[in-house]
Amino acid sequence: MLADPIPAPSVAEPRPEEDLLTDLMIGYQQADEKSATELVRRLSPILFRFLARQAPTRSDTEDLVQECWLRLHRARHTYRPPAPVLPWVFAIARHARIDVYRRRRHALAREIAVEMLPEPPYKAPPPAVQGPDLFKLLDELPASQREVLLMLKVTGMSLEEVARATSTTVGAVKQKAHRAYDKLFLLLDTGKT
Amino acid sequence: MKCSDMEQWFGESLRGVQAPLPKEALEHVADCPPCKALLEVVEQQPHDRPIPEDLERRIRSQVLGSLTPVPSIRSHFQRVLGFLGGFFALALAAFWIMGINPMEAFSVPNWPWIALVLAGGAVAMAISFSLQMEPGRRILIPPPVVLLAVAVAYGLALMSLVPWNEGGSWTEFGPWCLKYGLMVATPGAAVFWLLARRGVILRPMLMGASLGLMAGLVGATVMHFACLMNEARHQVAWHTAIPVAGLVAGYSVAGLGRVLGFGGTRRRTKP
Repeated sequence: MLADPIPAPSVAEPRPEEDLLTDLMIGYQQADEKSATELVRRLSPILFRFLARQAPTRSDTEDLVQECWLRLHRARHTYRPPAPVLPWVFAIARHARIDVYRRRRHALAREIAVEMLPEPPYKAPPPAVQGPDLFKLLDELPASQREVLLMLKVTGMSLEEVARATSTTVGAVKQKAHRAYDKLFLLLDTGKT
Repeated sequence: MKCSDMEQWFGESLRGVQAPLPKEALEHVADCPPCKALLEVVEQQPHDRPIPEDLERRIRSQVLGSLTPVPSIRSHFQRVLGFLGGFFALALAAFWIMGINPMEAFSVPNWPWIALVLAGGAVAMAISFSLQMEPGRRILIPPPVVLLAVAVAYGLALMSLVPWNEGGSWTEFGPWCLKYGLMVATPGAAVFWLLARRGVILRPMLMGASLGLMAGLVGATVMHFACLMNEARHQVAWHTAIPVAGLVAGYSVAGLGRVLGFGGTRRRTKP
């Protein structure tokens, strides 16, 4: 029997990047400017990538990233080293996204529609080869499955980290990811893109 | 090789760190149309999505503008002890003010078992509270399940341990028990709220419901030892109503607070 050529995602293996983030987070709590700047530089693109697929426009994504940072900054005392940093960040980010979405929906319900040009939705640069857009496929998934898949695949978090960020168990995360894959395969198989 | 074995490679490919596809995977892709289609889609995705410079500058100025040293939140164990300390201190204060029934008042010696259920509920709620205060903690039992389990366990304990049909009107002293139970629960809610605010509240309505239930448990604990009606119908109806009313009140207050905009972050303005 052949050995599995692709190892399954690790459950809680510490990574060098994780150790660096922990050190930066400790520095951030101690008001070290260099650590805070480096943390912003490293975490903002990850947050941007995660939130870009879940916000309707580019401006919304930027607002959301800024809102996330505002909340991370206010809650920075709730990080306890040496816990992994990404689950802490994403637990706050996903609730920020939900709150902002809810607030916006509430505001839209009260607004009166006026004639204006809508802002074009955020679009990634066009791919070199024309074909189905993976992120359009992801939009077809239920929000909870999409979120788990984005954290696992786009952000590169482990199952354990995603479980911590979403306040669920590793088993539940695995189940959501597998369901998401099944649906993606089904969508691709039926050509619904 | 199965479709699920391809998952890791797809993720690595999306992040632009993929290793060459092994022979077994290539063979699988050749025989599996969905995996082949997904592979083609993944390979076409742009890997690098840089964050706008202006946004990073805004975030940096926002963070550095109010950068002060902050101590880390206390450990999980210390936080649990804090909640339990609050619970038992409030219960003892209420016992001191209201008095306790003599043990002979209990027709069946059921009080240690019910006290054990109440104490167990308090411990479970304290752990759940503490976990909710610290984002990114590993959670084995989801907080809503803890809430439900504590409420149901208390109801079942009363139903199975307190004697039924001991005579007398079970509704007569009911409102009295509910009123005094809630009077004890109210300062409890304030104490637990102050403790919970030391962390971050990500799900205010769940936190409100947990807080209300735990405060209600203080009231139920006190009433269990201060009420003379040792009868199941009375206790199931009126004593269980104390934590349930606390849960509903906590959930409603948190919901109202969210509608009115309390507890959220203020809207920022771009410089």
